[in-house]
Amino acid sequence: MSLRRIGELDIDQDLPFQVKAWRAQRVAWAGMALVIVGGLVGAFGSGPLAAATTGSPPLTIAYERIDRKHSPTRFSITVDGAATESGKIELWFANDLLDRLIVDEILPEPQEVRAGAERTVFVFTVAVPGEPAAITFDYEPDNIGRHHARIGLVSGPERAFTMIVLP
Amino acid sequence: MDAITRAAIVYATLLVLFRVVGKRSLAETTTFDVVLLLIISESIQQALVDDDNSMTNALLLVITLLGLDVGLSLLNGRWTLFDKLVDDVPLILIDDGTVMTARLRKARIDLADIMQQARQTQGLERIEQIKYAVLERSGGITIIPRAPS
Repeated sequence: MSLRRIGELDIDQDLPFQVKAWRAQRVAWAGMALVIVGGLVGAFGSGPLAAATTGSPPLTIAYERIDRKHSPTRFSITVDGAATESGKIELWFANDLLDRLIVDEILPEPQEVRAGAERTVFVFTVAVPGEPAAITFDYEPDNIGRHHARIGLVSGPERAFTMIVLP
Repeated sequence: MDAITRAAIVYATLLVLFRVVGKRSLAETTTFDVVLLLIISESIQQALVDDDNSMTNALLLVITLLGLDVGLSLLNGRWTLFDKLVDDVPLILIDDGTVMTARLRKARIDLADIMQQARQTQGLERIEQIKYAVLERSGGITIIPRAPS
């Protein structure tokens, strides 16, 4: 950089650049504040903006529409009483969804898991047939990007929704 | 590719963030600032390493980060504007005894910071003994005392 004589100092001070830099700095601070507010409300996962629910009885799924890679999260699945009368719940996940997750824990544990070409079916025993049942899948997303998820009951409806996984 | 991409993104993000936060944040050495830098490094470390604890991944990350640093220094040497954007420019805070109050405010420095530096480096006692005070690119403050009369 070029030195200039200012008073008795040889220095590469650049006041016009400095003023622009200060202005840019203030704008960047505002951007940081927006990021913090966005983080608090769940724009980057884990918050009110990220929490979502899809479906209606007999199959309702609560999930995080905005997630982060390798961040622990959960599908909370509620199966209505009408679908539990047989004493069993057969819940399927699309394999292209399961391929993008690392499943940590399933509660309750499935009695049986049946692998298929496009779907994997988890079979759960119901405590009281005819009463609603809750199933949780704790998992960590393993791929970033936009994912189309499909989950359904073998005997009943399918739920499709979109999740975004941030790096 | 993943390790190199992560390293490049983290390097660029930290460069921009620390540039935006202001150079004094790096130059100050209070206990809290040291703790804050340690916390930042811990927060970033997991994002860099992810699940891959192999030596190959570690070496790729280190080489990428150092390589980017070398690349940046070469770009700084070639383009003055780039150098200014990355490393900033020095700023005279006291000009031949005159305190540049507006610049102090913009740079978020007060006279107490300048006097601390004056005492520590030059053993000065009063503002009037300072001829020039310059906020350097590094964030440090250089004190040039008046010649004793």
